[in-house]
Amino acid sequence: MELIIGPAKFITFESDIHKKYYQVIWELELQCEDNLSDELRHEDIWIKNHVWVDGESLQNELRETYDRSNSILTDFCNNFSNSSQFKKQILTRAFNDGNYAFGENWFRPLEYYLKYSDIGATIFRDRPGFAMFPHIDNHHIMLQLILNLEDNCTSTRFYPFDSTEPCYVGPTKKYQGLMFLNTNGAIHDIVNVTEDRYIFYSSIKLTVD
Amino acid sequence: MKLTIGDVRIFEFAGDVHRRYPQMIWEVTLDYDEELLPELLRNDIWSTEANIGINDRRRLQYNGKSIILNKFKSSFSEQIKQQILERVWNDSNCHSTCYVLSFEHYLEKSTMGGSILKDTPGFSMTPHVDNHHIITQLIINLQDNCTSTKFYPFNSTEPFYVAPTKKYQGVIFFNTNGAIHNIDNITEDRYICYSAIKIGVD
Repeated sequence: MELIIGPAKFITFESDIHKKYYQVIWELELQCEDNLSDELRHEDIWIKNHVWVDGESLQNELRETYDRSNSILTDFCNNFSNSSQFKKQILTRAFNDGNYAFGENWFRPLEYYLKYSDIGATIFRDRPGFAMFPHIDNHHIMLQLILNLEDNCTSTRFYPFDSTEPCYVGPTKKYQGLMFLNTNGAIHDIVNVTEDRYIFYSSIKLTVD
Repeated sequence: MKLTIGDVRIFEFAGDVHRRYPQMIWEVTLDYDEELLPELLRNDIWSTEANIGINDRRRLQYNGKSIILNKFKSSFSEQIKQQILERVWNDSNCHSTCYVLSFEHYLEKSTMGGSILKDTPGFSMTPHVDNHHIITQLIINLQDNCTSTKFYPFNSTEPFYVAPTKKYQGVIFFNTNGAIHNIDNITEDRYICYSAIKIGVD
């Protein structure tokens, strides 16, 4: 399994007079021979999930989280969450490509964040009707990574800080996806889930314990 | 030392279509009996080393060589940190999505650093939002200063609020995604107490 990280897309906006509300997004492609489709279709591996909304954890029964009871899917997740190499790969890319964007939000040396960050990895099944309104993630999150595990019907959309028209929409194809830096301008949402959407989700968070 | 924290001022701006860029500011007053100015005017208590990420030799940081200033600094105790965090948490309520863990978590895990700074004429900082380690900042004038921190809407170069310049007055502000601020127009030495409550391992 190999994760190919494309070049960084710096999305800036003419109306951003303070130059503080840019976005940094990388498209991803996972080279993976596993076919997870049969495993994802098991009905007994999903638990109802909570979603953070405006600082509160709200029950959202339309997002389900994989319960780690399936060895094939667990092995898939562990390739990411148990691999210090994976964390190093994506943090190093974000640090090097992100340049000032990384430093404005996370000003310490790369070595600090390699040591004092935690990586999580899971699989979600979003049921038809699931949605998250436009938001910016909390300040603990440094980077997020989303990979489609099937050809999905919709994907994460990103918005300018002052417009409701998306400036970028993530890939929907199987084993493609994106990662993005949690900048002050990283407004994103998910809507139009009309069929079950299967994604792998990983985030790198600042260690606060 | 007694820190009095005024009512929260919540600023929201036309054009913030996603409602992600509010600002939250509290004016503060400090009661402190001892006179600091004679100590602040000493020339042997300032370091020109880069500090708090700013490599500008016109911002000088107190070097710890004054007994009176050390006593002042040590007054910024855990109790003050708790007072500030409680107010910020209570007043910001659902306005912030930046810090999503419990109040108790941040009270235990955050740190409050404090510095006394001397900004000399010509020092400035361009409009910026602070890094994601910072939860909240406190800035208090240690004398009547010539200028103060200015706050900007996310979509305008016109400040909507300028912090007090009077001695022992100042501001606390929450590090929201919209908290753009700067400092400029320093024409005389400016003495401030600066403190930030931060997350992350030091």
